[in-house]
Amino acid sequence: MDNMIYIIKRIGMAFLTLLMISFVVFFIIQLPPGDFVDSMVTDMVAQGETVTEQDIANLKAMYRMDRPFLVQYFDWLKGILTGNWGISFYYNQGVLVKIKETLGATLMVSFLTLGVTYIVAIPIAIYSAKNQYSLGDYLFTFLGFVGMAVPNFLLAILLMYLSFKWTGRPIMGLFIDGGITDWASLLEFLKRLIIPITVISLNEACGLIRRIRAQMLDEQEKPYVLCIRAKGTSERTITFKYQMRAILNPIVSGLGGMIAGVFNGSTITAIVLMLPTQGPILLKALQTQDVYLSGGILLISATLVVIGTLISDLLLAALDPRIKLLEEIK
Amino acid sequence: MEKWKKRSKFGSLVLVSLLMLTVLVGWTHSVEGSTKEAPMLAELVAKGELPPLEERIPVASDVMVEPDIMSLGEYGGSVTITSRDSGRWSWGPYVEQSMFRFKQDGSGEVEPNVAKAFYSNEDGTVWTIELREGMKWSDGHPFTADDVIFYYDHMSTPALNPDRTPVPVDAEGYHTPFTTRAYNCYQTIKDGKTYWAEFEKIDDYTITVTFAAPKPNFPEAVAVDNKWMFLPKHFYVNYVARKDGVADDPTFPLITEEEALANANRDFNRQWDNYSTMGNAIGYYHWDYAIVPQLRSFIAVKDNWNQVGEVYELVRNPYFWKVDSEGRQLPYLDSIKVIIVNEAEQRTLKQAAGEFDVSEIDFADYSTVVRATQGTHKVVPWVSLDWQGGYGLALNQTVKDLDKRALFQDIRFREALSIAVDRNLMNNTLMNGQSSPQQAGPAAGTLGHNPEWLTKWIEYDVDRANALLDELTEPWDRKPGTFRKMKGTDRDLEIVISVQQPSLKGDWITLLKGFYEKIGVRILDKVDPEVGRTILTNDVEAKFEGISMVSPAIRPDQVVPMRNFAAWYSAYGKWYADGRSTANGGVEPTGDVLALIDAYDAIKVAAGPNRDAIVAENVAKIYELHHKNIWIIGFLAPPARYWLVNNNVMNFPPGLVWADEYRFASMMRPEQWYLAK
Repeated sequence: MDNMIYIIKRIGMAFLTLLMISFVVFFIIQLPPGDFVDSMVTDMVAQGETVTEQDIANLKAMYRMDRPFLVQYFDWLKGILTGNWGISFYYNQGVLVKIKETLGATLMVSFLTLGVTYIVAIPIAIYSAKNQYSLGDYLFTFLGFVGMAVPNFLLAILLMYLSFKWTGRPIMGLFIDGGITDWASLLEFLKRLIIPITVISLNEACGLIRRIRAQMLDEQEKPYVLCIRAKGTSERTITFKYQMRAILNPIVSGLGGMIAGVFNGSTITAIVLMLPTQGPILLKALQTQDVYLSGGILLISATLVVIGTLISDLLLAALDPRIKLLEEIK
Repeated sequence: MEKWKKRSKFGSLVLVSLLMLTVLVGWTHSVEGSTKEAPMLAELVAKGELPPLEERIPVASDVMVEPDIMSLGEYGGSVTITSRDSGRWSWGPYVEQSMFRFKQDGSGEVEPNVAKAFYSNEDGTVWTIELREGMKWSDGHPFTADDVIFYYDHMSTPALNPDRTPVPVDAEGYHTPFTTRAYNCYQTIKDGKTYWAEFEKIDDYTITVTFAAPKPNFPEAVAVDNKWMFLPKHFYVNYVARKDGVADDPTFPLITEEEALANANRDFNRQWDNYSTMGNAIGYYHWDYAIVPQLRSFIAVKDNWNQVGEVYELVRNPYFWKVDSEGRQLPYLDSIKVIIVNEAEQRTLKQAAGEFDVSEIDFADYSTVVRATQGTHKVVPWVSLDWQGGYGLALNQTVKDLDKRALFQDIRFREALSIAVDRNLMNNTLMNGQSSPQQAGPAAGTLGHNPEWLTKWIEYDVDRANALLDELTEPWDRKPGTFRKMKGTDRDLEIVISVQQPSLKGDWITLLKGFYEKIGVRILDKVDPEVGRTILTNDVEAKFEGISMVSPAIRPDQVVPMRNFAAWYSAYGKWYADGRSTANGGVEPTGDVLALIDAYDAIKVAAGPNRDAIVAENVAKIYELHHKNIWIIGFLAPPARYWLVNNNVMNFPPGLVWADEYRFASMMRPEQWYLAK
C-alpha cells in the first residue's frame, strides 16, 4: 500500500511538472523578438524576394500569429491532449509526421552510441578501479579527463578535418546517395558511422568511467567486501557478483537524461556532422521560430526526462533495497 | 600450297575483321549522326515508354533553337552543385525558364523564351504573346494559351470588380490571389485607380493582354516580376477553388476551398492547415514539388530538398522544348545534383575537397579553396552589379534638420566627405587589400559604366577637404577634439549614421570617425534594428547604403526617388509616391533630383516606335545625374563574383553579369552544359 501511494505520488508530480514544462517551453520559444513570419520574411528578403508591409500582414494572418499568447498556448495544449500536435510552419507537415521521419535514424545512432558507451566504459572503469594508480589507470584517467573536457562538436570537426586530410574527402552525413544496395555501399555506410559514434559516445563514456570507477572504489573497502574476500571468494566473483550490483546505481540514476538523449540525438554534433537526426531539425525549428515543431520536440524530450527520472526512481527502489529501507526509516 | 592456304586464311580473317570493323564504325557513326536526343531517352522511346522526339518537342517552325553558348555538346553525365536546405531560389535559376528573358549581353533588353514572340499595339495598351505549337509540359500534356490564362485568371489575380479594379480588402467577396502574390506587372493606374489587365485567348497559341492605360514596359516588368506566368491547368484544377461562380465548365470544375485543400494534402503528401498557405506553397513555390509538371530544363524526382546531407536530383526534362544549332534536344546533361549543405564551413570543406562541379566562391575563402582545387577546378569570374565594395555612405537629402539639409545638399560637402577618406588604408584594414579605391558607380561591363565616374573624388586630400568645408561652415581652428560649427549656429557639425546591427558595420564607422575628425566633422552611430521603417518617417540622417541594379528602367527605386525606400532620398520618395504631394511629410524636390524624377517619368510613359530611344536617353540622363552629384559616396571597388568550376564542365561562359533581374545562373543557360569526355 505504501508502495502504491509512493508511486501514485510520483506520477502525480510528474504530470504537474510536465504541465509546467509545457508552459515554459511554449513561453521560451516565443521569447525571442519576432515570430515565424518575421524569420520567414528575413529569409525571403535574403533570397531576393520583395516583401511589402501588406505581404507581412497577410502572412501573419495566414499563420495566425496575430492571436494573443495565451490563446495560442491553450489551443496548442488542447491539440496535444487530443493528438493534434499542430503543423510545422517550416516543413508544412504535421509535427508528429516530421518527428517520425527522422526517428529511425536518430534511434539507430543513439542506441549504437549507447551500446558503445557501455561496452567501452564498464570494462575500463572496472579495470581502473581494480588497478588503482597503475600505469593503465593513469592513462585511462588522463584520456577520460581529456574526453570529458573536449566538446563533442570540436572533436567532430577535428576528425572531419583529418578524414579530409587523409582521404581527400571529408566524411559527413550518414546515408549515401542511392542507398545501401550492395556490400560496398554497406561498408561505406559503416565507415561513415565511425566518426559520429566515436564522437557522441566519447563524452558520455568518459563521464561514465569516472562515475563507475568512483563507485567501485567506494565498494572496495566496504565491510561486506572485506567479509566475502576474507571468506576466500575469488576477486572475480566479488567484482561481478557483488560489486556489480552497486555500480548499477550510477547507471540507473542517469537513465532520465539518457532516454531523452536517445530521442534527441546529439544536437550540435549532429549538425556538425550533417547527421539526418532529430538535432538539426530542432535547431532549424528554433531558428525559424517554428513554434509547434520546436514545442513538440522539446515537449517530448522533457516528457522523456520526466518519465526517465520516474523509472529510475522506481528502479532504484527495486534494485537497491537500501534505498527503500532509508525511505521507510524516514 | 599449305602456306598459301594458311596465309589466305589469315588474310581472310583480317579482311573479315576489317569489314566488320567498318560496318561497326559506320553503324555507330550513323547512330550518332542521326540521333537528336539523349541515349537515355532514345532507349525509352525504343522500349515504347516515351513518345518519339518529334512528338515531344514543338513543331519545326516553333521549336526554340538556342544559340550555342560556346560549343556543341555531348549527351550524358551529371553536374554537382550545392544549396542550403529549402533553398528553392538557389537551385531554381539553374533550371528555370521564363516567358520572356533578359538577353545575355547585359543590355537589359528582353527576348522571348517560353513565348515564341511578343509585340504590342501603337500605344502599348494591348500586348500579344505567341506560344509554340506542340510544346509540352514535363508530363507530356500540351502547353497552350489555356495554361497561361488559367494561371492569370484563377491563380494570380485577387478578387476583381467587373471593371477590373481590385475589390477592397474589407469589402464582401474579397480574396487574395491563389499564389498570395499580387504582381505589379499586370496593373496600370488610370485616373488614380488601379486596373488589372485582361487576358484573352485568340487561339491555342495566341494570347492578348489588354491594359486600361499604356504599359510599354510590360515584357521587362514580367521578366522581373512574374517571369513564370503559366502553370499547368490540367494539374492545378484539382487544387484551385473556383471563385467566379461558373459551375458548368468541364475543364475546370467548381470545387470548394476545403476540397482543394484536401486534394493538395493528399497528392502533395503535406498537411497544410489552410487554403492560402497551400496556395502560396504550390502556386508560388511550385518548383519545390516534383509532382508539378514543369517547362523547366531539369525536373525534380523527389522532394528531399529539406534533408541536409542528401542529394536533391534534377533530371533532364524529356519534353524540353529547346534544341541546339544542330537540332539536338537540350539539355545535354542527364541531371544536376544539388548537395544540401547548411553550414558555411561544411560547404567550404566540401568545396575544397572538390566535391562540387560548380559553386560560388565566398570572398573570405578564396585562397583556401582555389589553392586546394588547383588541379581539378578553374575560377570563372562574373561581373558584379554592385556600385561599391562593402558600403557606400548615403546622406539623407531631405533630413529634417534644415541646417544639415543645406549641407547635405551641397555638392562641395559631399566632395569633402569623399576626399577626406584614405581609401588605401580602408582597403588594407577592411578588405585585406583585395579591393581598390573607387567611387560608387556601375562596374565595367554593366550599363552606365563610365571610368571617369569611378575615379571621381577618390584622391585622398585632407587639405582640399578642409578648404571646401571652410566655405560652408563657421571658421574652425583645426584643434584636435573640436568640431566645426554649422553656419550661423553654435552647433557641432555631426552626422548620425543609423546602423541595423552594431557588429556589422562597426569597423567602417570607426575608420570614418577617424578620417572625419581631421576635417572637423563628428560621426555618431545609432543602432536601429528597424531602420527600414525609420526611413518611412524621414528620421534617418545617414546610412550605409549600397546600389546594385541592372538599369533604372527596370529597377528604379535605388536611384530615383519614386517610393519611400532609400535613405539618401527619403522624403522625396514619399512626395512622389503620394502623387507629388507634401501633405504626408513628403518633401518637394528641385534641381537635379527633380531632373531624376522627370527622366524616370519619361521612361514610364515612353511608347511607340521611338520607345527604345527615349528609354535609353533617359536612362543615360539618370546615370549622368548620379555621376555629377555622387549622392551615395563610395569608397572601394566591389569584388568580382567568382565561380569555382570543374575543368570537365564545358560551356561555362565567363564575364556575365550576376544579377537577380537576370536570374543569376540562368543567364549562362545551364541546359547547354556538358561534360568533356
